[in-house]
Parts: sequence; C-alpha cells; structure tokens
Amino acid sequence: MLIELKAVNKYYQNGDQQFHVLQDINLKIDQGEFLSIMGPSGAGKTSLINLIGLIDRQYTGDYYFNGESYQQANDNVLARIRNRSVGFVFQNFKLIANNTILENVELPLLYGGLSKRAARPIVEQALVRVGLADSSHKLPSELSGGQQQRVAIARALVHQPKFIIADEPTGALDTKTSAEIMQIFRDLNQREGTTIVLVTHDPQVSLYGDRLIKILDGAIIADEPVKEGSHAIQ
Amino acid sequence: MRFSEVWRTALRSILKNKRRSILTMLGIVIGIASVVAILAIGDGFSNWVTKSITNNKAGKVETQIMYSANDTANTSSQPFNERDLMLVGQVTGVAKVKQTSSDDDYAQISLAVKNKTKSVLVHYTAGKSSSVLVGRRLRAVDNQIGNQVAVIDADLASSLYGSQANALHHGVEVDGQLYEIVGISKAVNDSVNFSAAMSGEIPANITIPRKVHQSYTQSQRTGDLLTLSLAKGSKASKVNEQVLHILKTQGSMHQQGDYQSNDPTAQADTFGKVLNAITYFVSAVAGISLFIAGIGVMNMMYISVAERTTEIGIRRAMGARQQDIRRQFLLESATLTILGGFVGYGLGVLLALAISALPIMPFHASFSFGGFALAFGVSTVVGLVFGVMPANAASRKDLIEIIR
Repeated sequence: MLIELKAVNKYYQNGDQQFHVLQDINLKIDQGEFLSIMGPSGAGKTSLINLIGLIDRQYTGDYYFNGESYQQANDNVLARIRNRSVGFVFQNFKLIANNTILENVELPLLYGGLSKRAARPIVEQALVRVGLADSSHKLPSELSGGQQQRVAIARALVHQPKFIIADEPTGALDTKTSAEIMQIFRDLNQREGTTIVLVTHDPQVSLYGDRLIKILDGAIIADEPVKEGSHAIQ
Repeated sequence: MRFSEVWRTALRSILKNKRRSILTMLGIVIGIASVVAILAIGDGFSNWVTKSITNNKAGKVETQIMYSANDTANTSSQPFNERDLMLVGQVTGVAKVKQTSSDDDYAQISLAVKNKTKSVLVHYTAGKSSSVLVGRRLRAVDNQIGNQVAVIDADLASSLYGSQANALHHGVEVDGQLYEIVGISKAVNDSVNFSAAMSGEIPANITIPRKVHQSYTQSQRTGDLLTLSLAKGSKASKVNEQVLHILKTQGSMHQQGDYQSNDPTAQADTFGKVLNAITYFVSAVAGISLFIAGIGVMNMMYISVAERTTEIGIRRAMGARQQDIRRQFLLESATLTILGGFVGYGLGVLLALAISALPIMPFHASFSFGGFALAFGVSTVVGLVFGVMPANAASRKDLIEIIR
C-alpha cells in the first residue's frame, strides 16, 4: 500500500468561521494506480492532494505513506521524502521563469544531491520522454503552454518518484493540447507503472484514469473504477 | 544542492535586476572605497616616516639629548660624565648611547640689514649647497680647505646690497665672522615645505661651510650631545621623556644647566595625528555608509523574496529544505555585497593613487593584502548580517500558501 489515509479531517480557520475542509477521508492508493479526483472548485481537492503530497501536515487522523506517518517529521526529513517520492505537476506549470528548461527539470536531481554534470543526461532523457528533445536551453517563455506543461511533467518524473501528483494539469490548456498531455500521463502509467494522482474538474479528463474518486464539500462521495470502454479517445 | 549551483543562481538573480543591484551596491562601493583609500594613504605615510627617520646606515631610529649650561662660565666642565651615560643606557628602549659634540646643521641668527635686525636661517654644510641663480655653489672643497665663503638667498642679497649682482663678492657676517658671498640662491619661501623639512633640506637664507664655522665656535661646544640609538619598536618620544626625567633629577650637571631632547619623529607624529583623525573620520563616514548600504541590501532582499515567492514554493516542492532556501538568499545577499566590495576596492585604489599623485603629497599610497582582505571581509559580513532576516523570512514561508 503506497498511500493510506484513515479518518483524516482537516479544518481551516478563516476569521471567526471554521471550515471543515476534509471530512473523515478514508483512502487507499496502490502502487501503479492512476487515480482521478474530481469535484467542483472548493470541494477540497487541493487540500487533499497537498496532504497526500506531503506539503500540508495540519490535519487530524492518520496518513501513512509507504507505511510511515510523517506528521511529526521535521522539515529536513519531509523535504527529503518529497524530493525522493513525489513529483508535482501544477495547473499553471510553475516553471522558474528565468531558468532554462534544463535548469528547471534538473532541480529535483540537484536537490537530491546530484551534480549538474551527472544530472544532464537524465534530464535530456526525461525531455525526450515528454517529446521535447533539443529545447533544453530555451526559457519557459519561449514555449507554448502545452510545451511548458510537458517540461513540468519531465520535471515531475525526472527523479523517478513513487508517485506524481497532477493538480489540474490541463486547466490552462485547450482541448487538443489537453488530450496530448493526458496521453503522456496515460503512457507513463501504462508503460512504466508510475502511480499518478490526478485532480481535475473536467469529466473528460478524469476518464484517462483507472479509478475515479468524486469529492464534494470535503467528503468522498464516490470511489469507483473507470470502465474500460469509457476511456477517452487514445 | 551544491554550493557552486546555489552561487550561480544567486549571480543570475543579481544580474537579472542590474539597475536595482547597482543602486543597492552603491553604498557598499562608497564605504569600501573610502576605507581602502584612507588605509592605503595611511600605510604609505607610515612607511615613508619609518624610512625617513631611520635614514642612518644601521636603519635604526636615533634621538638626541642636548645639554645647555645656564651660566656660560661653566662651559669648561664636562656636560655628561660616565655615570650619566650609564644611567641613560639603562633606560628601556635605549640600545646604545654615544656622546658627541653638537654640530647643528642649522642655526637661527640675527643679522643687521639696513638698520634693522632681521632673523635669518644659517645652514652649515660639509658638501655642496643647493643650486644658485648667480655665482657658484659651495663645494665640498670649500669645507675641506676652510674657504670663508657663503651662498645667500636672493631676498637677503637684495635687502643687503640692492640687487643680486651687487651682493656677489661682498661680505656677510655670521657669528662675528665675515664670509665672502660667492653665490645667490633662489629666494627662500616663508612657508616651510613639509617634505623638504623631513628630508633635511630646509632652504636657508645663508649657507656656509661647516668646518669654517666650527673653527670659530668649537670651544663652546664639546661633548654636549648624547645620541641614543633606540631599540626596535620603542617610541622615541617616550624614551626621550624618560631619559630627560632621569637626567634632570640625577644628571651630573642638572643643577648647572638644562637638558633638552630632539625627537626626529615629533614632526611625523604631528602629521600622523592629523592623518589618524582623518582616518577615524573617514572610517566613521564609511561605517555609516556601510550601515545604510546594509539596510538597502536588506530592503532589496525582502523585495526579491516577495517577488520570488513562487520560485521558493517550486523549489520547496521539488525537495529544497528550509536551509537550502535560506542559504540561497544569504548567498545572494553576500554575493551582491562582495561584488560591491570588489568594485569599491578598485575604486579605493584609484582614489588613493589619485591622491598620492597630487603634488603636495610627499609620499605614495601603499597597498597591502590587509586592505584587500578588509574590503572582502567587511563586504561579506555586511551581506551576511543584513541578509539573514530576509533569508529567514524566505525559508519560513508557508509552503501551502505559496504553492497555489
């Protein structure tokens, strides 16, 4: 069991009001799964993946990652775990604007202790995998949105993490580019067995996964496998 | 993340905002430049002083103690006896005591000029006199064979005989003896040139051969001078003070006369004090400049942290620890100030060279590794000290807030 959440609750204080962001979440994710989390905005999707992605530790209940709880871990341990285990893909790509593609993608490797020289071939390989060979010296601003998201995916998988968290990866992209990006995720999952946790509010996009979780007002209201036939056009 | 990598990131971030970085560095540059310049000049000065007061062959500082009797009738007796020499020799800082006769190179005498008495400076020389306008210089041979000749300056010649040419081959009276004027030198400027004074070249109104003058006055001065060679590192003024105190209380002739000291470093000390005061002043101004600059650096770093919140979030999500983020911003701040320090050092060197090129400066600025190390050290410290708070703020940013 890669990820296991037991009776997780999260509250969010805003002035006098207290929001119950996550309500009694029980969730298990296995190695190699492609999980889609769907729900309207404000439903608590982002809170959930921040928690899963070891960014947020302000919760009650238990979260076991690889059988261990990191709720009390210090920043150094947490940073190392994030560095080794999680790859993030964000809606607005979140590339460092004044770094080249190469420098953006090599970040997880450098923070993992590799030298620039050692990281270089690994980065090039990751860029080939997302279909962006030969653009390692461009700046993010020289690329289209779809290409930037490919760079972000390359960055998320370059250090071979245990799982990739993709938060609305197609939210800023047109339909055609979205399909291309989703195809990359699909290939990653099917060919290399990468565990993927995808957050979206687009039903079409959610169909790329194997398993669909619907979330509303902080609670899981549905957890079902995606029928084989309903996978989006591949 | 490796150090060189963090540094590259810091440098790029500084270069990306060139104008902002340059403005922020300006205070550091000014502060470091002024300190470097004043230190270089101060070093140059002290080197030069050391060189000019240890001009004797042994390379040691020498000072002199003079005795002058209250009553001229007593001049026959010895001004210093064996016991005096022993007492003086025991003073700490005195390496060697030698008894000599005073043969001052200069004397101030009164001269009757057109019914008025005028005070003129006489120089006794054993060698050549300085260049002349009319006539000839004094030569070493004048001193050896005892020619009773003199070189006087143009002003004195005019006031004595109306014109320079008239004065030639007339006489001038020094200590009751008449000397033939053989040359007229350039008019003596009233203001004493400091550099000329230190090198022992005071322009005199009258220059005459030393031996000739001594032959008339020798009887009056025998062994009235103690020359003290100082041990290394001892201060001439202090040693003189102690020696004078001993002589004035226990000296063999302390009831019959007075002891005086001649400190060759006194003049340098005065100038040194002025220079010290200037150094303190410039350092204080530079200190304030560096402090203000430091605050500027802090301000810029806070702005940089605020602008790069997303970048911090990305780095943290990719596995950067808080200490990685702190190190990155600290290094950025230090790199900025160190760059400023280097520019400031260069500017300070140029400034010091420009100042020592001024005609009134008798010495050259001296640059040491210490000045460079100081510039480097101070700028590093300013960068680190004023970078700590912004760097901490950057590292403590809440990851959940900034990753959105």
